[in-house]
Amino acid sequence: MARHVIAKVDELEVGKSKLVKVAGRDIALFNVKGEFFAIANRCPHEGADLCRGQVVGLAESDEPGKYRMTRHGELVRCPWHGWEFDIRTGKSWCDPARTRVKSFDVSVAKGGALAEGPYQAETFPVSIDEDYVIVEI
Amino acid sequence: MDISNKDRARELPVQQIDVFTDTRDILAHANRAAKKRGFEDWLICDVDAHHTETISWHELVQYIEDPVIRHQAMLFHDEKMGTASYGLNGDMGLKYQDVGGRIPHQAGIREKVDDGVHRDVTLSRRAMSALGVDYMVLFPTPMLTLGLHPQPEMEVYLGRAYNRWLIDKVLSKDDRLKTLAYLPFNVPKEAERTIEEFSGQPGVIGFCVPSVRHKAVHHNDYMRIYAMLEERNLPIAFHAAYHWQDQSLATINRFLGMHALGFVWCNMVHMTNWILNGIPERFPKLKSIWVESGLAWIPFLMQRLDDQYLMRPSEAPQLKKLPSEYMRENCWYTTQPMETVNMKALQLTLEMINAESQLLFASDWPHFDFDLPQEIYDLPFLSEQAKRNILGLNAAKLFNLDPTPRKTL
Repeated sequence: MARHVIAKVDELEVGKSKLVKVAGRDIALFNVKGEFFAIANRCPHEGADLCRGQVVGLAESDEPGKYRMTRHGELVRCPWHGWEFDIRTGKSWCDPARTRVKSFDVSVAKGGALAEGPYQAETFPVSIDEDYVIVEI
Repeated sequence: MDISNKDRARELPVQQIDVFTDTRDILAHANRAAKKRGFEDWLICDVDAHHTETISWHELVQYIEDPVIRHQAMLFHDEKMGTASYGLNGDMGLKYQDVGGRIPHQAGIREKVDDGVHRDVTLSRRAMSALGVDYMVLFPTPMLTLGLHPQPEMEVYLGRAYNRWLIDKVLSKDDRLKTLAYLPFNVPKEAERTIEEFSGQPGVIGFCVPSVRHKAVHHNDYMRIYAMLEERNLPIAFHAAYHWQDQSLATINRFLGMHALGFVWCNMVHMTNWILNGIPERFPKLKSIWVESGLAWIPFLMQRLDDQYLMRPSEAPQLKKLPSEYMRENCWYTTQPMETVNMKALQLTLEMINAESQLLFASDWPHFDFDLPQEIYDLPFLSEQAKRNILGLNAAKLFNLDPTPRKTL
């Protein structure tokens, strides 16, 4: 397991995503309502560019004829066949036990903390005053 | 803090896939998957892919033979705005395939096309190249409901115009593109004329009856058509579709249900009539292909018909064997949309239909539920030979195509 700095916190607005290549993997980072989540960019169904689908909400219903859209911006929908995945967990909405996309642990740290210690984040310019998103692979 | 600096985090250009995205970009991962599986050396025939003929409708109507109808249609497209395509009986706004615009390749491909050939040639070439396909059989899309048109002559005008336009603008430009030409089945004499005229034309490898219609396939009026096709060794395809005005589906209120049932129901009705009226016995060399109904319906119908036939054979006296045997020996099936949720059921289905010789790969690209060739390649229970047959060799045999792969991946 290694940790990689992949973005500055303020470069990714709520609802936006960023695709990065890190450690040989294509990983998409999402800002969901101020929290950061990262998932792999390959749909487990047939292999599409998962992260290039629309970020959508969930259609729910408690009784016939009454519908509502909930969880706005929390699901990504595959651009090939429309499978919906929960960005927070990588699990597909309809088949969470079997069809899930790999999700990665994400944390946020101060630039100052990153600059200390034996390893420098040389590959990503880090300034002491700003916050960064770090993914663990 | 332990931060890795071995692997550079590199930002990739990311853009949401939308209706303007290039086919090759949408399907980039499919192309990678094809290379990984070594499809370069595999013959892959896609026996059911689509183009949206209505995008070129202003051009297609110029191929209508009748001078009055042609004139009307051309004026219609010159002068009216915001209307549907002249003469079609589609479902107007009941177009839910793209799940409210969430699946962009179904919503309408508006990518840039400027290769100097017809857009449908370019788009099909891009899809073939991305999917790893050697030959692609193109079907129309909104025209698939013309069988329910209240004016049977309109099916004749538009069906013939479509065939002529497709051959002229698309098929004659690339011999990897093929058609099962449109048969205006509601007017049998015109269907006969269609077979006479279009057999042997560039890219024509058989004929297609769009399945949504209420005329019985065993009606005596059609026997000459079947004899003509049998003599020419050209297959007849029944391409499924749905129509919200089809009274047999009048209670369905969700596209999901309409698609799940409509695309199967029409072919189940035709197949039942086809078998019980002994068409395969009367035309033993006529090859029928059942297109875009998936596969799960076939074991059901085989069991159901066999079970009933054994109790009441006097109602189908032309049969010399079980209905399921005709369905396994005289009928071919395209794969898409292949039901894969229960793999045991799929395995049994492929055994029951003798997939090794009767099954033909189909992508249905660019529709919302398209399949990739890897869906067959990755099945754990098939031999390599069976996979090669399904992906291309069965089609090469059926349509008399050279089995040498033509593509570059």
